[in-house]
Amino acid sequence: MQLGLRLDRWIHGFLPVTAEGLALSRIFFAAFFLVTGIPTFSWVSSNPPGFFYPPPLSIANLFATFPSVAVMRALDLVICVLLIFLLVGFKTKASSVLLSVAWIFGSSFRYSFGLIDHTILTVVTPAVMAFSGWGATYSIDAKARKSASPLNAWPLSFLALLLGFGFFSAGFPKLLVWADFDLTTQGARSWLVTGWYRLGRRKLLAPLAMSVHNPLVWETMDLTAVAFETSFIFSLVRRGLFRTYLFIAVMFHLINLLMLNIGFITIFPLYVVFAPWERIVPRLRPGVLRMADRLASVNGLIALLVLFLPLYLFEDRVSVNTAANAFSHLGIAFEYFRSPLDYNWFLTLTLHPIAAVVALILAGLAVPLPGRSDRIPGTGGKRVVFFDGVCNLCNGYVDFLIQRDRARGLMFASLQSEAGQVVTRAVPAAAVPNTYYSVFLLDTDGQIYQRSDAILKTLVSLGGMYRMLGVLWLVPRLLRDVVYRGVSRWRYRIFGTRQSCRLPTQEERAMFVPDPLPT
Amino acid sequence: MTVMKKATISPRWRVRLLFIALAPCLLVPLKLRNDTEPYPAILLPSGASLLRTVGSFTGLETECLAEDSAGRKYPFSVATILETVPSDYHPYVVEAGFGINRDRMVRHLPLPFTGRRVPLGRPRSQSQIEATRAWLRARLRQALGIDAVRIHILTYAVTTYYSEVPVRQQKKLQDDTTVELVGARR
Repeated sequence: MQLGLRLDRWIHGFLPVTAEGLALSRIFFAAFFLVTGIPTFSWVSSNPPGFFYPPPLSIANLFATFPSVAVMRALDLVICVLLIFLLVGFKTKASSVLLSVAWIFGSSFRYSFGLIDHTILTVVTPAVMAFSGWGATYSIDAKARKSASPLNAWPLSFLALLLGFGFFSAGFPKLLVWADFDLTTQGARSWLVTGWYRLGRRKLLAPLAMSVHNPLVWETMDLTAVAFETSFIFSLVRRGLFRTYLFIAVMFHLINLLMLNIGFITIFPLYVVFAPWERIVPRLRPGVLRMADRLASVNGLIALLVLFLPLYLFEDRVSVNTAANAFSHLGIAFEYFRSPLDYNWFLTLTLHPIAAVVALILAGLAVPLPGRSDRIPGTGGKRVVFFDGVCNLCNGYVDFLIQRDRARGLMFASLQSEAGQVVTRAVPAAAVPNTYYSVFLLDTDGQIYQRSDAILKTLVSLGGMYRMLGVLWLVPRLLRDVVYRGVSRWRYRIFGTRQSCRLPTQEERAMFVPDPLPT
Repeated sequence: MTVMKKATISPRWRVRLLFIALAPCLLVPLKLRNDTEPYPAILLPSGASLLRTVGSFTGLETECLAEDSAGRKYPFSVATILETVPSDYHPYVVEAGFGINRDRMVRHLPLPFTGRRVPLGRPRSQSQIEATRAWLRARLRQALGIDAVRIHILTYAVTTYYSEVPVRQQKKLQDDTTVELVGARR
């Protein structure tokens, strides 16, 4: 295939887009900041000119010192209004681009104290996503428009590339320095010790990490971090791999928080843009979508403006840490009630584990085979477990299920039977014995699940204490399938095979799909 | 009549060009970061520093003292003086001598392939320095009730000897940087 066409295929097809998915990621993005903390910059103006130390390329270099309070306060209000516009989808494209521009402008002054917080990927997200059509539905724009606006997938590929490069920019300098295979020099430990003494980062697992003196542990940590960060960009070759890397990234941030006390919650709204919305949206309750639609209205816009704009009357009365990092109703309430817990720290401690659990849930979501199967005659619409009829292990599994399926909600059919063609049409390789394919499940909605998804869905459907196995949905599918593949591959050698396919006994006959199928 | 067709770039090529043009926008800031980190730039934190540990490791701790005209020294919390700055930025403001010891001129932009470096930003004027000193004096007066003439930034090297039992720590003064709040410019 021509290089140009391959490039196009990646640019326009790397991540799937749906109008609902884009709209929900837009709403989440705006709501995240409105609820947890709206970017504010007016606090920079209360500092003396000596603290003004803008980074190169920054627009702040055009200024002699921090701008006046009036200018920065106006900027704060504009950012808040643009976030609300984005949430309700009002002039979505323009609002998205302007939001990024205003945010970068304000950040240029914020980062004039000598430290850059590396929130840039999140800051540019609205500007890039503006071209995706993320205002195509659940928006005031959509309600005012007569025809549907087009959706573009390239902004997602663009953002994925930026994210991959971002990680590379973090990992490459480390690769040159940390990957020295010298047990007397340690990189991650340098972060820990610097944070401990210089920034007072001594919470959570930091004391425990300070007591670890085994150089092998630290060297392994260095190499793992380098490998992950530098290789992230190569995950862009495959959608599944990219999402696996996103999952690892969420866990990586959690480990950084626990060990180094470094939070990175602002990256989560970007990760949400990459979420498998095509799988999430069908699982959402209609009420959630109705609520999103109701919020994206003129009434919603007015309500949000009334709710948020008075917040800025209190801007002077909250501490800089709250105003600068988490200016929101919640943050102000924390300060007002003099909560002993710092609000920023509270957010970090709460959102990182939530993100980790959400990532686990998404990584464990069952993925059906494409398309739906018609109902199989003689099954009464029950779940059908397909198994390899000559495999002893699979037959043992069927016996196990028959003994425990008190509700008789399961039917069984061997892959070699006529009913098995439902599966082998979708996965031809399953028709050949001694492959990785041993068990499938045809669910009541006509969707076919394979590998560990099929086994887990079947076991959970037994009810009773087997429902507790549902906790295994939190194990990423990739890992579950590794175990499944291992067992499946060796099942003939370890458990042996039968000469012929299993025939149900008289008692079992009602639980097996008739072969041949009734006409 | 012949109609001249207007030469335009197809939407497909526009997107392709956008992706192609991204490469220098990403790589140039990455190269610039060797000297000083630019903003805005698609960069995530690297911090490729190393800690040498052969039975011990050393971390640096900072302590600040305000000195009055009689030479009396008063320790103060940086967080109290810099309550107008988010706490994560405090060490960086202190490192820059509270904005007095380090000039903005030190930020230079190296021009790729030319070997030249372009200064970015304007150096601080005397009036800006004085405004910063006055601001710091006012803050110290408010916090400590003294008329401070200078600030001492003491840097201690804290060494942990973990190969010894029990683990021993040693704290040694490594540096005393003075920030003049009155009189001489620096």
